[in-house]
Amino acid sequence: MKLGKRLAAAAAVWTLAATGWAGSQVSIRLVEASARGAGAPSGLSDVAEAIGANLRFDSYRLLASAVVPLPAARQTRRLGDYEVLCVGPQARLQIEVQRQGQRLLKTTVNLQDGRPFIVNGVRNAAGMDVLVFLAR
Amino acid sequence: MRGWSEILREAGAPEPAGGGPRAREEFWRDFKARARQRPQAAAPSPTAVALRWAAAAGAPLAAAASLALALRLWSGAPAAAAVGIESLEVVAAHRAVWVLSDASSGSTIVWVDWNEPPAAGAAR
Repeated sequence: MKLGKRLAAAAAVWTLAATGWAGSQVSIRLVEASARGAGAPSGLSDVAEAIGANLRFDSYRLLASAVVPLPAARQTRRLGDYEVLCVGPQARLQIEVQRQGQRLLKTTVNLQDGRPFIVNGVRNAAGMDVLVFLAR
Repeated sequence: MRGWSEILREAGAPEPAGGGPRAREEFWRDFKARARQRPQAAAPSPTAVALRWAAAAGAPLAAAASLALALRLWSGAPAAAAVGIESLEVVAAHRAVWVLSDASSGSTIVWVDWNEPPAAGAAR
């Protein structure tokens, strides 16, 4: 029965971890926000409301996307000209954004499942680069 | 092993009244007969064993899940909390930084006015 108790304890710890700190990955999307055109393309439907309600652009185009499993152990993802470094658990995720080797910003956030975290990049030919982080 | 009757016989003791202790064979025959009259517990089937293990593991699991849920509710944190920013360091040259929180979508926006030509759009 010792094995059974150990299994039960492990299951309990796992459940606590899973329910208390839910979210197994964070998706990162590079979006081109533009003052030309209209609408949000596929691939952004889950964040279209957040983007459309808060940013003053007319159209959004998905340029690149990546996924980082959580907790992140120094995971770097390249999205177009940007490099995004993620370190740590979802509740204390360190994010560093670089563009063409230049560090733009560094932040530590507590990501909530299904709640987008949006950081703007630099201006591009059509409008503005936007990075959208979403934990699931 | 010698039976009680043999010991008494060897010791030359008189046969006790009422026949004395019964012979070993007789005793076990009666014992088995009595045992057959009562239903005996059958060995648990593999399915039953598996179910017992599942129950043993599932009960603490359910308890832990309930505890986690209760802790979440008692913590007072709203279920639809927005992204929290613990620290923010804008490294590249910039003019201004805005942090916006949209309650309706639960989104959080960090908007930086970089030192570069004006953008075509901006945060509302």
